[in-house]
Formats: sequence, C-alpha cells, structure tokens
Amino acid sequence: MDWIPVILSLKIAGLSLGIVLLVGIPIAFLMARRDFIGKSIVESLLTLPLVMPPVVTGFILLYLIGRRGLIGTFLYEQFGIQLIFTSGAAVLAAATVAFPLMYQSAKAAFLSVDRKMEEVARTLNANEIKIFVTVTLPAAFPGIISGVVLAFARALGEFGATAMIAGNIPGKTQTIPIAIFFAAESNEIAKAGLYALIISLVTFGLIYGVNHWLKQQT
Amino acid sequence: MLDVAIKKQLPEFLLRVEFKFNNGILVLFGPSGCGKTTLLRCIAGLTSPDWGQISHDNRVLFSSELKVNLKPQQRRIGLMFQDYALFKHMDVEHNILYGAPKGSSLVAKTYPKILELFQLSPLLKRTPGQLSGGEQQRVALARALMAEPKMLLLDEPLSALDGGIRRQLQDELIAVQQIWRIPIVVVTHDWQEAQKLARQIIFMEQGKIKIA
Repeated sequence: MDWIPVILSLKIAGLSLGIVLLVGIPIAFLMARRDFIGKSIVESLLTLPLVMPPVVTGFILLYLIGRRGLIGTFLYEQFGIQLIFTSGAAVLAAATVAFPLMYQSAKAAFLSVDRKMEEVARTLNANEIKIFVTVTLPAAFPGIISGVVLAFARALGEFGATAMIAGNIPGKTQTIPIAIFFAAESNEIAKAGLYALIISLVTFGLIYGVNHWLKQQT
Repeated sequence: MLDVAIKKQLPEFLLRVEFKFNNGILVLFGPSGCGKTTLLRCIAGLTSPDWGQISHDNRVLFSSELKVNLKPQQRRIGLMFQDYALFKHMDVEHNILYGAPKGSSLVAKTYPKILELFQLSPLLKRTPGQLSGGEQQRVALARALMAEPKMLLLDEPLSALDGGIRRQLQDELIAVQQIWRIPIVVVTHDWQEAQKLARQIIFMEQGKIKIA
C-alpha cells in the first residue's frame, strides 16, 4: 500500500484551503456588505467553478498558467517560475474548485450576523478592525467552519482540473483521485478500491463531524 | 446640553425634529414607527440626517452646513437597542468590559460599582443566552456605562419586560441618571413609564413633534 498519494492529497488540500480562506473570507465579507455596479456579474463569476465541469475549469487554468498562457508567460519571464505540472498547479486547481463552497458559506454566515451587534460596538468606541475580529468573525464562525470543511473535502476530491494542469506525477501531483483513475485504468482494482475507501471515509468523517459540531452550537 | 434640529426623509414620512434638552431624563413618547428609533440612531451617528445640526455641550456632532458628521466612535454616546444586541458569543464579563477604555483608573473604580448596582457579580461567566430578559437589560446598560459615555440613548429599554421587574428597572434607570449625571434619552410608548422617568417629554407622531 502506497501512502504517498494520501499524504500528498492532504497536503495539497490543506494548502489550497489556506489560499481559499485568505481570499474567500475578505471577498465574502465585501460581497455581503457592499453594493456596487456589476455585483451580480462578480457574484456569478465567483460561483462559476461550482457548477462548471472541472475539466473546463482546468482548461481555462491551463490557458492562463501554461508556458504560453497570460499568467504563465509573466511568471516565467519575471521570476523563472513554471507552475504547470507541479504540485503548485495541483494546489491552484484544488483551490479554484473549492473556492465557491467557502465563499458561499462565509457569505451566508456574514449575512446572518445581527448588524445591531456591530452598531453597538461602534457606539462602544471600537474601530472597524476590532469589530470585525471580535464581533463579526466570531458570530459568523459556525458558518465559516462548515465552509472550511466543505472546501477541504472538495479540494481532497478534485480530479478534472488537477488532471488538466498538474497531470499524474507520482509523489508530486498524483493525488488520491488521480491515483484511483490510473489504477482503475491499468486494472489494479484492489488498489483503486482501497484509495476510494480511504477518501470516502475521510470525507464522510469530515462532513459528519462538522454536522455534529454545528448541532451542538445551536 | 443636547441641541437637535434635523430633517430626514423616511420611506413613509419626513422626520422633522427640533428640540433642546439639558439634563436628566428626556422621554420620546409616541406610537411605533413614528421615527423615534431613527432619531436615536441619528444622535448616535449610526444614521445620517439629510439636513440640520446635532450638537452636545457645544460640540458639533453633525452639521449639514459645516459638513461635519462625527463617527459613532467619536461621539461618546451610549446606545441600547430594544433587543439589547448583546454579544452572544461572549460571556457577561466580556460584554460589560467591551467598550471600557483600557488602563483607565476610572474603569477600575466604576466596574465594581456597576456590578453591585445591577447585581451582576453572580452572572459574569454566563453567556447572554443563559440570562433572563431583565438580566440581559442590566448587562446591556452596564456595557453602555462602562464605555464612559457622555450621554445615553435607550430604545424602548423596558418594553420586553413585565410588571414587577419593569418597575424595579425604572427605579434603576433613575438611579443611574442621578449617579452618573449624564443626560439620558429614553424611547417608550408606555405613558405611565414616561411620566415616572421623565424630566422632559417629547410627543412624536409621523416624524414630527406634537408638543414639547
């Protein structure tokens, strides 16, 4: 039994979760609180990776970060970085498809925060950063946690976009889903089945755990 | 002295208010939806009037003419919402001390005094969800006072409470005013309560003052 794909999957999902948190929380907060022209277009774009076939997401990413892609050329010429077919690309693919889940959960959580708590905090001399950290974020915390779990589980299971831009390099980009696909292709049914069992157990455990926790919160 | 002269267009009518108020307790009396809460929000700085001026002790808080609109944080005005808006994820102690200036010697003196006056010592480790309505009201009032406000605005502070506890808290409000000696504006639509609390009563209807 080769554990490398399992460890690699956890690492890649963990890193992509970090990115999704850093980017998703501020964007979700702004989208929940600000109105601007073209907001519904931005909203649709942010949710798009949720409904688009991952292969299409992967194809777009390939176009962007490939050697001749818009971002790929820039990265290579300026910094000598080549993202395509690296674990970095796998992180990017996982982060892209997981982003909408984090974003949607966090936005719903921010929308459900009682604005009067923030207003009271303003009359209690708190600045906006203190209010966000001590009032808004803790009040939205359960929703953000469910976003974290959904995004992590989604990142763990990512296949289509990963296959397009990261490929199947054992030890570098061969995550569990990729390993399952190629094991099944080459008729190693026991190996594929074992990986499938592992990923099913992990994702089930995560979702069950968070549901249980959320129930205790209310 | 609080000096208010403002206009603000609301969805259903024009809020147009003008009054001066010195010290003690001012009661804003009128039916629901007559603009009382909006008026409090304008004084606290949470909503901006369309036109006019609000000043307190010769300090301009809002002026459409001078283009002044101080943030709530700069106004030093405490506001208590009808449903108290306590921080649900914090215990009573953290709620009360939220706005207290860090390291102020006044806080060290006021805190025990407030705990005693509102009988809050046994409740400090509880969360707002574990408190009765009257206890929540006391925590909200204590929280507002600990921020050392120069004025207090209370939006229907007692409407969610019944009979005995309500009368007791009315007495406490009067005591608070006498101890802190800051002006308090109270919104209510209970006539008996208005008479008991007020030094000055303003009657409002459809955004306008009837008799002051």
